[in-house]
Amino acid sequence: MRLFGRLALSTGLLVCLAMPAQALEKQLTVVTSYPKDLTTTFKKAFEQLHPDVKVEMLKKKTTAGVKYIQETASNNSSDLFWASAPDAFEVLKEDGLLQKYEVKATGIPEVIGSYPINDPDGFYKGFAGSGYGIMWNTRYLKAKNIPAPREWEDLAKPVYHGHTGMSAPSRSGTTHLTVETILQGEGWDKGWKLLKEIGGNFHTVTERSFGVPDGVNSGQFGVGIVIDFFGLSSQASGFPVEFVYPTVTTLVPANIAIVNKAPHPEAAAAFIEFLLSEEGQKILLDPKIRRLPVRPEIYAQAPKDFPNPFLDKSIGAKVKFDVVKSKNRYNLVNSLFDVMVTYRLDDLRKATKAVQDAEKAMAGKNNAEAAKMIAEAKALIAALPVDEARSFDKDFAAIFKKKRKKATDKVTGRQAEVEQQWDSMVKSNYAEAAKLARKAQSLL
Amino acid sequence: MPRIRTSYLVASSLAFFLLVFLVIPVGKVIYVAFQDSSTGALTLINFVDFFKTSLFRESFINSLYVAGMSVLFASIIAMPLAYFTTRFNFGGSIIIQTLGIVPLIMPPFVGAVAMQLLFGSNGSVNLLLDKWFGLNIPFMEGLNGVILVESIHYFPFILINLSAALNNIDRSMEEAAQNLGSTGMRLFRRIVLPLAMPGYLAGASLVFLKAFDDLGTPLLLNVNNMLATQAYLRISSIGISDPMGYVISVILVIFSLFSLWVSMLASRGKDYSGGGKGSSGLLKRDMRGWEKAGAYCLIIFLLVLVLSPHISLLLLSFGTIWSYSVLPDAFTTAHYVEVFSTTREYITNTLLYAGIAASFDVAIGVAISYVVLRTGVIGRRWLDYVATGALAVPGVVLGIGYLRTFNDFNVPFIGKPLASWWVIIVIALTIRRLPYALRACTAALHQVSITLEEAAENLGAGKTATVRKIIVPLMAGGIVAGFVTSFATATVELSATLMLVTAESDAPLAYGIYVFMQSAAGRGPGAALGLIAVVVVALGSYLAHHFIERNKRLQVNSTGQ
Amino acid sequence: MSLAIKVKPVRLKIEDVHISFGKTKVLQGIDLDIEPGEFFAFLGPSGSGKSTLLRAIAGFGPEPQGRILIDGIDILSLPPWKRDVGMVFQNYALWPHLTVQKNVAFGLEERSVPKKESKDRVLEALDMVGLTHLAGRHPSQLSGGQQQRVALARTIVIRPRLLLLDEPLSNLDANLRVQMRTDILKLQRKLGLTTIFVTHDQEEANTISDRMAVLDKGIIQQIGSPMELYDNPANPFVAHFLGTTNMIEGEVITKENKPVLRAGQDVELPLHMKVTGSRGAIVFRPQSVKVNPEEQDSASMCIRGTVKSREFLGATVRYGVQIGDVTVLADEAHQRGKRIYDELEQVRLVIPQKQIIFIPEA
Repeated sequence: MRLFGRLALSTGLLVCLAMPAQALEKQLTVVTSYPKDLTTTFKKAFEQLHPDVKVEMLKKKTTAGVKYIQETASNNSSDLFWASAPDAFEVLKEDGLLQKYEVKATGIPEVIGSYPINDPDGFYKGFAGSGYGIMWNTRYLKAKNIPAPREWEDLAKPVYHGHTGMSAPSRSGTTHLTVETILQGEGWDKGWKLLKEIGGNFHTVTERSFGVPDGVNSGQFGVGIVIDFFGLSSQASGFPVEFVYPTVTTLVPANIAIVNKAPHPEAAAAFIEFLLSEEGQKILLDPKIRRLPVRPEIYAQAPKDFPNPFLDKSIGAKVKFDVVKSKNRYNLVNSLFDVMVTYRLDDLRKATKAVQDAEKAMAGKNNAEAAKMIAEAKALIAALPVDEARSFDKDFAAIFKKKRKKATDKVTGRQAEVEQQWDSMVKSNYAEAAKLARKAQSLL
Repeated sequence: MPRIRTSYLVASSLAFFLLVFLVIPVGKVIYVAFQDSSTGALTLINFVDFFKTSLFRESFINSLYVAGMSVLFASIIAMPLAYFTTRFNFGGSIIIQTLGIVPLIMPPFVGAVAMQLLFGSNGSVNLLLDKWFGLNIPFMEGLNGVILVESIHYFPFILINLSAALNNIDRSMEEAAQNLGSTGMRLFRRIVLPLAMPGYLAGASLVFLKAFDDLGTPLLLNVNNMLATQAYLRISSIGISDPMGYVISVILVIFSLFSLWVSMLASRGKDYSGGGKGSSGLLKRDMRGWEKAGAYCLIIFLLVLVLSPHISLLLLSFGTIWSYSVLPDAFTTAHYVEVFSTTREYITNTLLYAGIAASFDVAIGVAISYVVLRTGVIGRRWLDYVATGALAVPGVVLGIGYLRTFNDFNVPFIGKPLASWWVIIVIALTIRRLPYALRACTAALHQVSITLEEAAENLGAGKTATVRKIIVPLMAGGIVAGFVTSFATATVELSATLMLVTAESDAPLAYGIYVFMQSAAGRGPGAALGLIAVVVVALGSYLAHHFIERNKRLQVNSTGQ
Repeated sequence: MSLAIKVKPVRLKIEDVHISFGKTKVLQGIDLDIEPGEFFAFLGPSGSGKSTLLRAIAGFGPEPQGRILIDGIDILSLPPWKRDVGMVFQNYALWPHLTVQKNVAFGLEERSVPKKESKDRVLEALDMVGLTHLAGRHPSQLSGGQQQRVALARTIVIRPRLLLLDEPLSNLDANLRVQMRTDILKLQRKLGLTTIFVTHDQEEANTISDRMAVLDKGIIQQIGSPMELYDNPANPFVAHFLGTTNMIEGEVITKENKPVLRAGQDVELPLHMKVTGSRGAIVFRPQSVKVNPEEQDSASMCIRGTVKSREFLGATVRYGVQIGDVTVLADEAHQRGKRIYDELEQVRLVIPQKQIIFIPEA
């Protein structure tokens, strides 16, 4: 603790000394996916510290932000890219659109939970963490007489059928991290089985990550898998919702990076330093913002029940997250999820419902034939078109990569072709599973 | 001949505009649809993949089904409204015509939330149904939900165009039919409707195209198995190399053009322009007591139905917390205070952008319809096809295309790239909403008798003067209709705008709504901002209708001395 | 400056004009020479191409081949708005969004005539057609006749070099038509405008025009003054089109060194005029036929027949007399107490030879 304190103090001093020496540019353009509450607060605080700099917060969906920076690269006018999803930064990094930056501030650990805070290559920096969890609408659950969930496994129970929602990992980088964490934690086959059991209960797979808290807030569906600040800020805004971290939660960092050829590099650097400084980190505790700071000492000032990933090892620490693995099969996992869950949600739901009904009918009875059929049906639902080894096969994953590195790189197979094969397998499996389960039920 | 040279000049400048701001930017993005993803060579293999993929085939059929059914239901809503307001002396015709526009303005995100709160599986209606009858009707689930929302959302296209056409029918046609013993529905079906066919087809084809290409509605209902959503989801995911999104975009464009072409074939030779004796418009008559009551009931029912999303939006904007309940917990004006104190410039920007864009749209719409219908320029139909094709281009694609094409083009005197100048937003809106204005203008020009133009030319008016003094005033109804549609829909356009906003001070209202709707606390202010958009547009279209009606009265009623 | 000040009338020449709509030939080999100040009519049935020809002069429709010259200058390369050729449209084409006053002022505005002068000229033009009191109205508030007058005023106010009238009277009732006809003629004479008038009504053409061209199937059948054409039709079409006529077709044979027309089985009519060709027809008007005249000179043709029909027309009684296979119409002037022949009565028809013309078969 003392060490931390001293570090923080010296950082503060360094920052203070460094600031007046540099004449910052008059402007700073930040492309960000963060909500108004967060951006405005930081903008005000930063402008107070540097009255000469005018900060322009350009709010774009993460995907739009990435495309924006890619397309305007030849005549770049953006200084910083500020968003959660590490994959967005990875894409920009691969395209050579980010600039390396050596953070001057010290005292920031290497990992938060089990996730590395900074890009090992030095292009983007983590400034906060967020945990995934479950939020629910209390009125909804009460009206429908559904118990509040506590763990991921709860969401696979029949009682939640048609009452849950989640956004697709292909639409939200943070959701992707959650999926990947489950896959790494539970193992490829078991992980997908759990995901499909949860998915079979979905009311909806939303197109954007905010669609989940939005749906729960309205009462469109009762339970959602969301990032913590969505749940907690909804609660703070007065909605009848509650949020809980399951025992095994996943932790995702939030990042910032300087855009290559930024027109105002000095101001950009100053903003990053401010963000990582004690003062900047403190802002994260604001209930409207509410993210987990990357400076451990800040937690001392946090409200009582604020989770501290540096102390509480259950938050995101159970799984040793392998970034390289995740990165290599990134698009493959997304595509697989879409084919198996998002696009075939109706079929998956029907099959799951049939199995749940059969199991309910089965309760307390003993019918080996029916039990076998149900087991078969469950196996069919869980069956995967791709095994774990294949998911790490670089050549195979390349089909889903953004672009060929060189014209000579040979890729065999096209994504559409592969997806069609998966789709026909998944579709017939689900149909077959539903049929088997119904048959089993008729036997009971 | 000079007249030919001028028309070629006009046609080629239109072609140039479309080429630079539509074809090239979009082409730059979707060329990957024709590229082998592993070798980069030109290929059609991706299209083969499309048709081989069962998900896409299903999506295609779903989109087709939704579009067809939407036209049907939209017609059922629009026809009585159009007929009653043009056929009878009916109190509040202007109000009906105005309120009829409002459903077109569905602000992004908040519109979706409002619809769910009302019609969703746990929305107000279902909560009440459940309480009273133990029923739950899945209004908003699956394809049927999409059809419901599309019909409510887009029926104004039919209403506007059909009303304009009905107002242009020569009264004697109707009288002749009555004289031969035809009345009531029979008269409507056999005489009035066929005569108004060009207008109806213009509207119906828009509804069909829109429902076929629409992205917002299926997204809000999380229906993924439709073409537009498939395209969008594949284009807007980060780091995906899959060209299928662009393949689908190409297919959407081609199919849209195909259905446009079919509707043109259907309306060919149905040019029923009135003589110019001014005896246009249906014979208006008073209704008998019970007729009036019935008509009012029907109209009120329809209006409540189509305006329900906005009623819900109104509640949302004044409500504190609205969650799993029939009505919000309490009411407040705080959201409006917040909007007015922080985001006033969004509103002024929107008025400016949408106003300029809609003006360009009707100007270009008049020009294109004139070139197509009144000149012999070779390839003139392509102007129409290309401009209408914009309907099927996803906004994201256009936005990316603009960034890619104009980022390196520095505007003289301004000193920054065209892609980051606010004018690019206006251009994007112009292109995106051009099809609406174009269809309205084409239908209007169809109904202007060509001898009226010849008379002007004969008296010494050149083509330009004829267009300005004769054609444009006579097309006024259609032009205003086109302006209102383009304006109304431009105020709430998001997808291309979000890509092109480079400074908050330049941002339009839709961007503001997006920013609010990113956080739970922003729902109320977002709804307030959305409602402001609705009110502004409704007011604008009310004034426009008022203007048309006044003009019409001037033409007909000014008493001679 | 008054409208009534005669502008120098122009001469219109049309030389070998051909017009086709796509592959359909609408007009072929049209040659015309219209004198300055002449009131000229294009007469023909619908589809004869008369309106197309008129519109071509104004610069509308498909581009013609050939030449159209005003005072020797080819106007075909000019767009409609540079031709200075005033046209009154069949449906009047009044702009519904403009008042009468503004409709009439339109052409002057296009010519940038100063406001003051424009106002005077509009008033004068309206005065000429007697509509000054309706200047503030919109076209939809006018009767057909009034609309017609506005259309006329709108055209003459620009002092066109030529006045083109496209069936201007066809939408009016009979009385109004007669009235307008004289009004138009008076106006034309006053203005001294070279005028072309398109009509399908021969009576209209007869009464109003100095000369006319009869068109059929895109070809000019005959040109001449109304009376010339009536008396000497160049072909059966012209004969029929210009009023009721008797025409007996047949083979020309020579009997006793004299030409005789054999029409049908037993009808043989001696021909007293110059005859060419082996087939042809004789043509004569019903009013030239006398029924059972008391006296008859040697230069008359005499035929016997049976009364088949009888129509009382007021001034005349029209008999249809069957002669062999053909029916000959005879108009007898009616007077009180004059004897009326009954149906099936045998009568003797006498036609003075100079009233008969022979048209050889083309």
